[in-house]
Amino acid sequence: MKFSYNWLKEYIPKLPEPKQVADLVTRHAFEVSEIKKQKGDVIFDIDILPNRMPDASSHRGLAQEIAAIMKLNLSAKGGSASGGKSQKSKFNLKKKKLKKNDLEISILDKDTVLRYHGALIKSIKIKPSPKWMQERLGALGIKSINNVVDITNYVMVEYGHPLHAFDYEKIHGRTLTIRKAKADEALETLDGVSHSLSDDILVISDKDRIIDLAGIMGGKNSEMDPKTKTVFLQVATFEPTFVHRASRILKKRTEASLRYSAGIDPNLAGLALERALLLLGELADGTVTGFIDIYPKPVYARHIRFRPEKANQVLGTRIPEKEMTSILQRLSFDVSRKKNAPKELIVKVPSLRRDLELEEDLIEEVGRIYGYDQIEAKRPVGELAPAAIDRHLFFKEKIRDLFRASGFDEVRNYAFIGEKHIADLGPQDRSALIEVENPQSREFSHLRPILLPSLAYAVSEALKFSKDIRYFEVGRVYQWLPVTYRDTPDLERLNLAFAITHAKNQEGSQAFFELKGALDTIFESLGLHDVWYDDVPASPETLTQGVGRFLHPYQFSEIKLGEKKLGIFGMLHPALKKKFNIKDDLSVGEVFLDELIGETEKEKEYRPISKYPAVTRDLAILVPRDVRVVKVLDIIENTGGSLLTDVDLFDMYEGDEIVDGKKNFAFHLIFQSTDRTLKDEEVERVMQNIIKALEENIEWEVRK
Amino acid sequence: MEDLNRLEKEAKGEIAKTASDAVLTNIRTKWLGRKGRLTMVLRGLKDLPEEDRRRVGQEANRLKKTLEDLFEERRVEFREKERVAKEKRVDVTLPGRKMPIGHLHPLTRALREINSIFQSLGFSVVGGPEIETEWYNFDALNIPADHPARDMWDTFWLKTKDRKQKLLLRTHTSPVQIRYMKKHQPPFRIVIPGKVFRHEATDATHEMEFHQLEGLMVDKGISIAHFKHVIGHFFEKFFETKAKKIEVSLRPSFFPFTEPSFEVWISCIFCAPRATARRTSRKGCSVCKYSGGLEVAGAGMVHPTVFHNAGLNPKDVQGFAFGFGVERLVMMKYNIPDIRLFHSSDPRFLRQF
Ligand SMILES: [Zn+2]
Repeated sequence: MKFSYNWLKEYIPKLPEPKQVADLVTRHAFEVSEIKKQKGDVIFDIDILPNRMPDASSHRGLAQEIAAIMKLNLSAKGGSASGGKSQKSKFNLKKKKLKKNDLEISILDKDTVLRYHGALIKSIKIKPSPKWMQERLGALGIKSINNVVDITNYVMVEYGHPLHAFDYEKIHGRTLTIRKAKADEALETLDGVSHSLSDDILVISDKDRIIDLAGIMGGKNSEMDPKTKTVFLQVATFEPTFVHRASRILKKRTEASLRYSAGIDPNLAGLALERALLLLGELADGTVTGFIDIYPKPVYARHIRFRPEKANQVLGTRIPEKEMTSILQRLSFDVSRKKNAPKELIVKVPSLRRDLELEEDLIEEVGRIYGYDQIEAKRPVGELAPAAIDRHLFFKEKIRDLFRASGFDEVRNYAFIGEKHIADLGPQDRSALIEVENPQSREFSHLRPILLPSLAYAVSEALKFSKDIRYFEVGRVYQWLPVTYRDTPDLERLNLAFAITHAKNQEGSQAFFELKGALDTIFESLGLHDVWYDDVPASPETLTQGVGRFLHPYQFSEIKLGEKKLGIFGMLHPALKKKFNIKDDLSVGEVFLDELIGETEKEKEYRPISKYPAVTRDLAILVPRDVRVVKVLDIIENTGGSLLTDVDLFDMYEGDEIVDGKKNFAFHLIFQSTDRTLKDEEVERVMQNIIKALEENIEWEVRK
Repeated sequence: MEDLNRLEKEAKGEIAKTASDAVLTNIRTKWLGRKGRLTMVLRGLKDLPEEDRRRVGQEANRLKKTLEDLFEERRVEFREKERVAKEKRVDVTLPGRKMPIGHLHPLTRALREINSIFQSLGFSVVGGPEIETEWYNFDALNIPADHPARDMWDTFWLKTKDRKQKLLLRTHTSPVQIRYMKKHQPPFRIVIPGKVFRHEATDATHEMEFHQLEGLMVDKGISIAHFKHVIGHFFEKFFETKAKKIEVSLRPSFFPFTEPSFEVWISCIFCAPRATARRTSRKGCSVCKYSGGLEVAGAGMVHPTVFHNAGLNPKDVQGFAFGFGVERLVMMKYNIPDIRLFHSSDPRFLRQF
């Protein structure tokens, strides 16, 4: 909001240099964001805080604030030096009441208007306003229109209360009704913009039509013109929420709507009207024929209890009571001692300060005028309990470290997804998607239910800059529940997604097994030794919370612990590779961290290391090509008994030297006992049992 | 005349101890050179009595032969060693083979650092949901509907299936204050890092999705003076590599959920790096818009209405709350020019950290 240094100086003759003013105002009240020299004046751009708009959005109000900060006196004349030479209005506001047949005012919803004040003025001479007024408005960026409009604007920036002048001849039926608009109504405002209205919008209408958007802008249909002779000057204090809502819905902000939205002291209406009439008399002639003042619930000064001791406790200071009293008085509050309570004061706050209601509000006044910079920092004392470490958080960070250590780079994608990814989701996921009501764009219309689509896309982008991408992301995903949720945390889960690429031209691409190996290492480090990869025969489409759809139908596996599904991984589905234009091999996966965290909380158990030597035997077996290694492993492990401590697949071969349709597996079998050195015969016996069990499958052949 | 037996022992000992070919040559000269010790013995033969001359002569010549053989043997040994060494030696100037090294996201690193500074001050790290109800995000924080204060937060609203309550993406981490205070008993000393959302156009300094860190310290008698200490300590630690001394200043502000409210400004870390004296940064730089200061956080004393809405009696408790945008601080610390880079998938960015 713009303020003129020269104008403020009229209120405070001893006002220091602009730079000093700006510095002090910034430290004690509002940020001065700009100081600009302009035609013999200096214009400040000041961010008046929203709660201080009622009292400080005017030159008179800001001058009051500056005087309090700088311990300066306000001039008795108070800002009238350039205009309104006479101090007393020539109109007696009390006497002449507006006649009903001159103009009838009706307010349909009483709670929409706090005060309706105004005057009917005849024999107005419309002409340009004087040079000093044009310059002053111009300096603040307000365009000069004519003397009457300029006066309404001038009084607004001087007092903080907006005014509006109607051309009386254009008010049909000599009635003004303040009411909510109807859904099919419309109005073209002074700036030539047409607005479709609704019942959320407060308007003023005459007998036939709407002529004003209350508190925002007047209608073109009742605008003054050079021939205007009679003016109805309205100073109405509207209820802030109505103007604010309308201004938000119509996306229309004006100097008036800003002030109305923040709330205005209705008592200001009287001062503003008096001031405007004074200027109208001087600059536009005019005779007042009648006044109206509908003010059913007058607002009075507020009394607030204030305890200096409490103030010092909140501020962390030792400001003497005398100094606090002086600060409050400079802000033009009355301070008195509470009866029978020597440590308590009663502060009378003028109605203009709508922001002050509680003792805490007064503590802020004392604190900022005293100066926050004067408060010495103090180390908090008292018992310092060690910070609690959240397990969930700790675990999340551990996962990140493990992926980093395995050569993965961390990415963070948006929580939003859009049409590009939604089409790839399964029907169940699509129906559980959480949609944004007012999205930024179609690309960001929903919340992501899984991480994989955005990660795969991120990888496709990354491949433009580098080969061999290894990415992971730890992030939240969002979805409606099939049942009603208790609280919003139920709609969120924590997931982990990862991806590895391998250039196609590399011999024997290993993206799948590299990822599997990385996962093994990571699960081992987490103490999850029993994670296994389920060789799921079904199509991945329906699997694992919709992630399966994104995987190659024959190259994927579910990650399990017992029967609990921890996640799924595999090669990216060929259709998606094509869609994202990925030429390289890409293995991806997603893990449900909430599930995983529960598992890691189970303690690791110590297993004694055997003192006795281990015996290793090799076993090679020819099996039909469709036999999976896990089937062979199962038989070996189930037959091996307690002496067989480990089995490693160290070779797999299918090719020229092998009978058609067969492949060869080679295993190391490790035998060990915790209580004795194993004898060869013992191991041999177990080996024979295993071979026998294996060869029960007719087409299997153990090579000897 | 030296005792040949003693000479032999000494010479053999020296040859055995020799560690290199070069030393071996020196030792050879010492014994068998023109003025070598054995040479001198041979030269001295003529001075011996006739009866000794032959015997000693034979002995000395035998020793000379023995030593010559030994020297040759050792020399061959050394040459062989050297040859093998040359063959096996790696070319250390060849480039090393890199192990795949991953990188944490800069935000992850920064959040860890921030959390640990606050943990050292006794603050526990706490989390909360990103999807919030209108009540937690606004009403409970003393921001009523249709109040202009709500315009301070541009909100993403969610389409809800039941009309039970309006849901949104939290616009700040402050609702977690309420959730936490409802479940725990004071004193409180917590920080809440987390993702927040704002419905605004994105550019180099604005994001619709970013992170905030909220702090809350509540006990009997916690004051603004204490806040100054805590926040000052934090910024000094966080920007330790950028500036030696950081001055904190509080400026009046307005937030519906605090009273008094203020903005936190620190002395500019770009134009006053490592400055110790006060007010050396008067001139400023383009980052601080020539003001010498940077606005870094919003804060205040928790509003009584907020305590009330969290089920606490405002008479019994007092304390401060603060919040700041994490990305902005990270951008300052690492000189990252564009906030949108935090969502980048460009490996050239991600691999820098
Ligand atoms: Zn600077």
